[in-house]
Amino acid sequence: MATHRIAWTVVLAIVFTILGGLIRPVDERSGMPEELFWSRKMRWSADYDIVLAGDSRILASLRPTKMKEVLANHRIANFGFLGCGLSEAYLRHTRSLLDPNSLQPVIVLDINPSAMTPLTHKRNTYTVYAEKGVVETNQHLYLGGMFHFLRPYQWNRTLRDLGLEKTLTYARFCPDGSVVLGRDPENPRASEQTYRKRFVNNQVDPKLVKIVLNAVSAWSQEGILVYGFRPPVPETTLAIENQYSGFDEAAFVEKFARAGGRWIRTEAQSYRSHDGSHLRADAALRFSEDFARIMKARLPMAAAKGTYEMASSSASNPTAVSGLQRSETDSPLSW
Amino acid sequence: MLFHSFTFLVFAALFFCAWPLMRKRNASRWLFLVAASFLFYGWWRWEFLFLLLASGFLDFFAGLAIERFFRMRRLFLAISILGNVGVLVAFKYLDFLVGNLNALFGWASTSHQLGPYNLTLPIGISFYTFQSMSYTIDVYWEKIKPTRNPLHYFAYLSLFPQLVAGPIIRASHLLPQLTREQPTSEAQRWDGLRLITHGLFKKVVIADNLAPVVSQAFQADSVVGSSPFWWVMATMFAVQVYCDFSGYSDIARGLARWMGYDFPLNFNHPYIASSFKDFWGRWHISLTGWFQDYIYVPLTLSPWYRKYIYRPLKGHQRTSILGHPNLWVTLLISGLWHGAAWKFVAWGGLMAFYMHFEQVTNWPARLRRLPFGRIAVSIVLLAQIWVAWVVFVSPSLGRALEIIGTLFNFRLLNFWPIWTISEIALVAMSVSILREAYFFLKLDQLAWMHRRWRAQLDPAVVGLMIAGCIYLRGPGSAFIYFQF
Repeated sequence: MATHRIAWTVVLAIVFTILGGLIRPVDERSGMPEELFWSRKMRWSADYDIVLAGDSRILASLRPTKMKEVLANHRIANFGFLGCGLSEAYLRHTRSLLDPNSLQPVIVLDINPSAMTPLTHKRNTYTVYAEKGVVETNQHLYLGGMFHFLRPYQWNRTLRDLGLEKTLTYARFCPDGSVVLGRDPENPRASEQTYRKRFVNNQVDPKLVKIVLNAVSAWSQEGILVYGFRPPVPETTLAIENQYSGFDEAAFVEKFARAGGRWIRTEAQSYRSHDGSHLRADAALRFSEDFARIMKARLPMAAAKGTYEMASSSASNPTAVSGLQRSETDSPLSW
Repeated sequence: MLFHSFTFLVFAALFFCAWPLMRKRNASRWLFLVAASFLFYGWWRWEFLFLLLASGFLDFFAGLAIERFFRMRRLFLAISILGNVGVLVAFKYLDFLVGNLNALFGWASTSHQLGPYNLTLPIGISFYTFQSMSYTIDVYWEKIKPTRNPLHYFAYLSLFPQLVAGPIIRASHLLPQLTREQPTSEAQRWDGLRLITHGLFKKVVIADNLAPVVSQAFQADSVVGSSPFWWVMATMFAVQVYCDFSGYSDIARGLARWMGYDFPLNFNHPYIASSFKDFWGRWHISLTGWFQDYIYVPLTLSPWYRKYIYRPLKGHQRTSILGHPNLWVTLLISGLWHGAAWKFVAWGGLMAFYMHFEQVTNWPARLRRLPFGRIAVSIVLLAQIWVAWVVFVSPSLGRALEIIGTLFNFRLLNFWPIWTISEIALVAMSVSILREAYFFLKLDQLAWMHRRWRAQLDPAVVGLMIAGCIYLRGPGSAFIYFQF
């Protein structure tokens, strides 16, 4: 053995690696391989009628598959990223995903204070993926299965089984671009401390707000329907965010409407959060359906030119509601 | 290209498949080494290859000129040093300098404000400029003959295993090795594999699992936590920086072994040192050697130093601070080498103070005479080093002082929030401490460690470590020393 140490080492390393992949502890990250999920998202092309953009809140709250049950002929992309800042590059990329032939292109923006703070922009997860080289992205696209098999162990579940960890957070990466987030045990107050700290020396920056409003204005002028909403979070989280971030929602909504956007008001009590920041899986499904219904009222029946039936004139030329209005339906969402 | 990336794995596989063929002939060997090294470096930002070329050609021609024009050799040496230092200042220290000028003259936030220029710091610039300078200085001192072939020079300067984070290798050590085919034996290849695996394990399993915990604690908005908590954090950073950097050096040495070359040892278990002098003989040996040979010794031997500092002092004064300005200068420059910020200068100053205090009092030798003296020396030594690391890793000097204040604010039974530290990080830290304890207790020198059956277990151990690097790796991050 001593004379063939290297050969033996290679053989044993392969055996241990295969065994290691097979006997890995249960992962709290499931669904699609995570890196493949993000790499694919970065490679999406201009094929969509509706693009949902924002951070983890839109990722976890709007499920395109569920929305399609209501908006049948629309191609919907959830282009959210965890910890995403609404930067110029990100908004440009969001716009580029809309099909130029779409009859009524729509962008839905998740507006929350964190996405317009300097620190989020500095640590923008979108930028991390955007700056990955072609080679690295291709590795994940074409060798995603291998990388997934060789992913590092996640120990949280094991540590919790051993009594060393109290909570378990999990994520399921869905092929439609959304992510199901969860926490066990649930605690709708878990994020409060995080949000109290997040905005210390890191308040909403008017320059970053302007970037969003400029984009909304430019898109509206192009004929794109732009919706904005603040994903539902518990009242306490909302209050903390508003108090510490310096974000004036009413003033923002007014400017958003002036820029041509349409604001959808959400009622937090109707959708339960598992951690005080993101919706539970069942609440996300219900929210997606409600959201899609609200949108349906404003959208043409069909999307891509020549593919589906033509839209009605009233829908393709929305005249009403920009800004805030009460809904006439029973939905906890309102215009 | 990071050593622990898939891209590098592919690059290394292709390189070592072609290497046995390419190394046979001189021309192909030189060309292949330079091309591979440039590909390795340019993979990050190809534009910076021009900087490497400019810096390299400056010293290549300076070396030739020093030999050819003997009377003007000082001028060419000065051009070489100024060129390299200029490149370093421009890319690494410019914003630091203008920031200080703005503060000094009250220009900040006025129309006179200079900068910031926010130039991208080319990876490894501090390493290759130092390596390049050492070449011209050695030519000037007639320690080596300048090479006449630029390919030889660039193969030496840019050899990819050591290009971006050292070890800083002298031309006298590496150039002669590059000039001939170096067939590798099975023992060398095994040694290389072992070094690479150990280096990777240190980096991806130990350092990368500690990185998020350390970063969260030191970069937090405010200093919270008890004294024990911060001692654990300081220990974690000490382990992280050691495993990160020595891991890189191990991988570099392992790759060199596979190529048939020998890189000198860069880290020799520094945390089991018996004094500060010993510590600096074990930590980043190639850089310490560089500073010693090119700054400390020339300063000490300079007529200026002898005439104006050493001779006027009386015996007892020579051991005081006045007697060792060269030590302070060297360590302050060493601090500045690590980064463009006052905290790094303070770190160098603190290290100089430790060294000087040790020289004046000889405390390690005195303490060692007491019962359990060796252990006491280690504890005192490590505590001082940990304090210096706090200065090194903290975002600012003010924050460092706050943390140091907390370190020595002992309150019994207050361990908050020590139980919030990730268990994975605690295990990673413990593994590294146990490994150093193994060498501290000299268990590696026991007879059973050298028995034949143990050697037969090596493939299984290395195989397990490779699988460990895959499944136990922490959240990926670049090597700490890349930023220098």
